[in-house]
Amino acid sequence: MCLSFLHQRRSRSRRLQPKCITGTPSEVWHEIFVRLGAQDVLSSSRTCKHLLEVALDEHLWRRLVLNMCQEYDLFLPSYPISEMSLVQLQRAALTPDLFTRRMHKQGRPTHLPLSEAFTPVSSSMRTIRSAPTVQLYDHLVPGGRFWVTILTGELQTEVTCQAMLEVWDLGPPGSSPRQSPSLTSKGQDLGCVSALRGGVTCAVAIGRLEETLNIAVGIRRGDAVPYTVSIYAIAPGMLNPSLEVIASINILAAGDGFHHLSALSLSEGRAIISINLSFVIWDFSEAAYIVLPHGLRSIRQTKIIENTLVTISEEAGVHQWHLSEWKSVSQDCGLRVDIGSNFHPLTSDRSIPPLWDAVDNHSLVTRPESASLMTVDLIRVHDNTFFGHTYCLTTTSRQNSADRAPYLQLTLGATYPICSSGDWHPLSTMGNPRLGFWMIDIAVSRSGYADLVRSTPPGQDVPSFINLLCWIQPSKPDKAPKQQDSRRKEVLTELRFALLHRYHVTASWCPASARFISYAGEGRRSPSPVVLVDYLW
Amino acid sequence: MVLLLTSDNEMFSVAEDVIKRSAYIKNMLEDVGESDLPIPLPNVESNVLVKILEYCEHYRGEPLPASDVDPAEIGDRSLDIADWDQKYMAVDQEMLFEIILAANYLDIKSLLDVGCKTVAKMMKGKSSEEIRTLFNIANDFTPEEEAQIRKENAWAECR
Repeated sequence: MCLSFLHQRRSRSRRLQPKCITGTPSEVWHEIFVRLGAQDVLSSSRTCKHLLEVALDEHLWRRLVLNMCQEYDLFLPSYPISEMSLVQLQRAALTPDLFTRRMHKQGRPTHLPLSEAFTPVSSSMRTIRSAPTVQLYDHLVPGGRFWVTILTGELQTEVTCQAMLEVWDLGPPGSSPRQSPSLTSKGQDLGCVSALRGGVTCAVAIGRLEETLNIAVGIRRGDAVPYTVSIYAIAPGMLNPSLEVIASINILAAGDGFHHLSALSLSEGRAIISINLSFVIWDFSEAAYIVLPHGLRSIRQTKIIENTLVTISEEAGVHQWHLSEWKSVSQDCGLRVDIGSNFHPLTSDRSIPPLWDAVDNHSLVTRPESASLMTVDLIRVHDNTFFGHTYCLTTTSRQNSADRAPYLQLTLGATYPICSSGDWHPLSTMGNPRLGFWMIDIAVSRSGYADLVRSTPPGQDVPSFINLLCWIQPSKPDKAPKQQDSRRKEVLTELRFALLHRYHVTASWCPASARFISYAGEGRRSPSPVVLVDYLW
Repeated sequence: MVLLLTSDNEMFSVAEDVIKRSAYIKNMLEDVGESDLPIPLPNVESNVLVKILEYCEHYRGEPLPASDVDPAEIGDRSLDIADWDQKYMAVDQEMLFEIILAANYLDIKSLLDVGCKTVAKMMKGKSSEEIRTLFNIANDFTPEEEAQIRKENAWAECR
């Protein structure tokens, strides 16, 4: 920014300012500003020359970018702050605010039809890979710069395919000139994997060293073969990074040898592998593990807090297990998980029954957020109308200091109607930490198609579903007379949404950097080109 | 006991473990050693020092923070303020800034943090005009300068 007037001789008007402005040194205002959000700092800088001078400082904005990364759990190397200009830093720090405002401005209530007047939010798109590939896994690392993908060129046979793990550098969001997407290092050939569902499962987390990424890859190569989970590590922001395998285990099930891996996640430097109705918690840096037969069918989310495992399952609510008695992984034969005829689920140390009723005709989605430990949304059909219910799992202050486990509480946070208006109905949803947005894939009815298809280019296939970005906001108060009982604390909220694409499917996304990855085409698992979408810059 | 001399020439006699919360005075005592001479505080008035000593007295006995740790940098970014600190900071705006200035001068990190948080809380979510009203700031930009700022910040407007 070159506001030349600031360098001119100081005007007399300075003396008119109150003492808090003139008498407070810049360093103190700097300390106040780093405790504010980027938007507040920008507003302050427009009040007078003194505060503008304080705000035009790269050190201040570097701190604000770091604060933002911390607030939204972004991967720090996404923003090379020591090389960024003031404007780039400002853009980065303001992106969550701007993205939110932009989407809210375009937001529609759900009872409006998906007519052509309802245009997708504008964005700039770049092709990352034009040749159609099948993506087996996709993860835009929070921060929007690095993209972890597992892909296969073409299916070799009906049952196996050749898989490749790659980490891409898409360039820092908001940088100009734009950096073209490139591979950070040579990819890792994962070999032949089962082409069926569950052939490859993956999870990505920021490593203990903040500049590294840990990538857990679970591979099923066929029946009666051990399930392999490997941890890869890369420091993608460094010079010449390399993707290395740092640990690996084989999981063998006793009995018929069938392995059903339902979930893989990384939490607190441990891999949580949910296989054959058991958890294998693997501390890959210590080469230790715990097997925890749980017997739960529909686990939606798992998380480790200190030495406690917390899970939310659809049919059984919240369970909390204390992790103790780690066993060490033997070097040669790998880890063996005995799950056969003698499977006995362990009772959890503490549980909270589900607040939702019988699992029927609804879908449960997880939406981790900052205030709560975990959030689950439930979409339920009642009289042909969909209702969303947000349940929040929070930790409360410890009731008993001798008990070191976190004390959990499950509450209904908000209820919002989803008026599907006959045009569409929700199919599945995809959550994202922190910014309060989530994505709904929707099915469109015939009348909805007509509206959507009108502008379809000739020869292009009709999309079978489209992506909506959703959020909940307080609904405007009705003109109905005020309720006498003002003590009722029910928060009236409504679901609003913005249409993202018509002919693309969002694969993974980072709203805090206003950057999404999408597939140009019909479905998540059919061959399609991969596109990088920037909503702000 | 330590003797402190304020800018308005008032003498205060303070217990050493109370005033050691000020890193400035703590360092000075360590460098100079025992002395009967008062420490002059030309930037602090007596009414402000009374207030500062109230804070130090309240936290007497609590461990001093490590000198190189900045509270704003160690993850605590919430603007939550402890109950006692909130009551302590419930003063008029002029005194609030006097406390912050004195905390900055005397290098009392935790007090500076609470002061800055208090001001940040007052400013949070406010527009430029509301912040001007809050602190009674005069708009010293010319219309041309305002136009230039608007132009430079155009990217930050909601599109």
